[in-house]
Amino acid sequence: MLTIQNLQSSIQGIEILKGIDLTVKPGEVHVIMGPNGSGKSTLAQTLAGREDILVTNGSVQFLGQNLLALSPEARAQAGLFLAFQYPVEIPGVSTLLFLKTALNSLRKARGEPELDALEFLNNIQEKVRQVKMDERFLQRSLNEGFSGGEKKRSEILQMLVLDPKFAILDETDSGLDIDALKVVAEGVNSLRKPDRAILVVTHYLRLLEVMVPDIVHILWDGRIIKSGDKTLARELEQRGYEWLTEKA
Amino acid sequence: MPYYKDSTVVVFVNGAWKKLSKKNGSFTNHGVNIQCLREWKDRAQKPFLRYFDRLANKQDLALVNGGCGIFLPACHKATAPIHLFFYSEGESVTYYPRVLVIAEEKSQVTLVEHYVGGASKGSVVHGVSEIYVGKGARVAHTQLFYEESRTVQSSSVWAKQDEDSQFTSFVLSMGGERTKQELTVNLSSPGATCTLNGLYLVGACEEACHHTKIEHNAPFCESKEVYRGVVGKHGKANFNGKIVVEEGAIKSRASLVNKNLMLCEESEINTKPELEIYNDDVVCTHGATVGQLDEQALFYFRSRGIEPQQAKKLLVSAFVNEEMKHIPAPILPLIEKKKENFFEIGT
Repeated sequence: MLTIQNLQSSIQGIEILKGIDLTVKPGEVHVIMGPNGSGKSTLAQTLAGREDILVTNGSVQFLGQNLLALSPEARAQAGLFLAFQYPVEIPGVSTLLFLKTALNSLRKARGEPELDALEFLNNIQEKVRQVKMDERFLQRSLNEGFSGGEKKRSEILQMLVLDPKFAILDETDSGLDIDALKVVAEGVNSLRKPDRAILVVTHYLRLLEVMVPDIVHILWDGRIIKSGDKTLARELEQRGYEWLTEKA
Repeated sequence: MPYYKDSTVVVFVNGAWKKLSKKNGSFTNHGVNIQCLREWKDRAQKPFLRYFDRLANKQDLALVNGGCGIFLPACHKATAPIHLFFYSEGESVTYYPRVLVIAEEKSQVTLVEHYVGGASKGSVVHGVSEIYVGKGARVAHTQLFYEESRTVQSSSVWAKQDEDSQFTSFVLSMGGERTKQELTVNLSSPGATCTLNGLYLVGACEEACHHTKIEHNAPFCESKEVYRGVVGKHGKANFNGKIVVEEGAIKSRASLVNKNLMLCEESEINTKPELEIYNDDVVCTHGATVGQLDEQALFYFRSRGIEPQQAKKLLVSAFVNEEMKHIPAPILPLIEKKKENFFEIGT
């Protein structure tokens, strides 16, 4: 589904990713862990197409397309979704309008008819309940004045509505209380399907206990230095990152 | 449209009175006395006489040719809005309409001045409005400018407020080669409050100027002012907002905000918020911002599959909507469509 080869990228002349190789198959859940500043978020945002990140080398194939040649919106239309670590606050645009516009943009790109307001509302109600959000949320300006937990729920809601083929969650579990974490984990779990893959960037084991990953990667200084199964995450929790870097 | 059915509508074509009701020159609707300006000048009608030529400066009044006077007797609350249309048609049209509003003690009225285009190039329209807001009276004043391009339109509005009166003003300018509004509000007696809002959407190669002046001449008065503008390619906007707190005007409260959005590098925005305070014991704030669309917000939209053009439209719309809520609800649909056009071209 997603094949990354020797991906290198930089922000404002500073090299962040120094050669990432990663292959994700349909149905898999991959986890990326690593200390702060190792390039986890940059990897997520490079894949989503943030324009101030310069890709200096490497290639990314996504469902047979050259992902790096696509605009951010074309990537989303191809089925890529990034749950932001810091969702942007948009005063004056309601969550409902944003979701509807986004979903209809994807539908239009796929050649499907756009949903009208009523159809969309029917479509969204169950998903709002699923992330345990109050429906009044939909009328509020997108992310404006949302608490940390509400912002992350709003990201999960967007993910459920847009129904991506490949979802990247950038520290969606950071700063959440136990209940919100459960909502996020369940949201991600409900997305698990044989034809969909998920890439989770995280610092914590808590999420991984609810949502069992297939492969865990350790990112260090812009490279993946170790990959393994879920036991690797547990080992990290006990021993920190030091033992890995000493070996490397 | 039910709105127009309920409201008192007076139409001026190139400055000439084309009233919709029966009698020409003067009529009373819903208890509000409306008179053609020529009429009252000739006969010096009573309620207006005392207020004649007091507020606006002489240059403004020198060329006046037409308009109307609106009189609200004490305690009269006009339930229906008064809507004045100023149409212009033909080529190289020049006219100077005038509006004189007298709202006596505890009266209430909503007034809309609506400048609509039709005239082609070389046209000049300059309106002068004088508004007296009596003790405890409330006046909501709206000016809408959307002449077609290549028209120069300007307007001077003067308001004078008595004790405990309220004056709210909203101005929308879009379209027109040059648009200029000068608004002067005089808080002359204690307890008067005014709220001034403005929105300017300046398209390609257009220019909009908004100059406001609020004079705090008495203690315990409050003024709030927010103007927002969006400026398209090669468009130019000037904002000058001045608040003067005179000596003795203790406990004055004033705030002034001007926010601008530039749609491209070639837009020009000049903004100057000013405070002049000759007194202690006041709370006054002022600020201005000029910015472009937030790149991060744009990326957020695009990462959800929304095309950049549409994302920009949504973001500009969000910026504008804050001010749109000051537009009287019934005329909102008229403006929505115009706004859409602006976004299509402007962004």
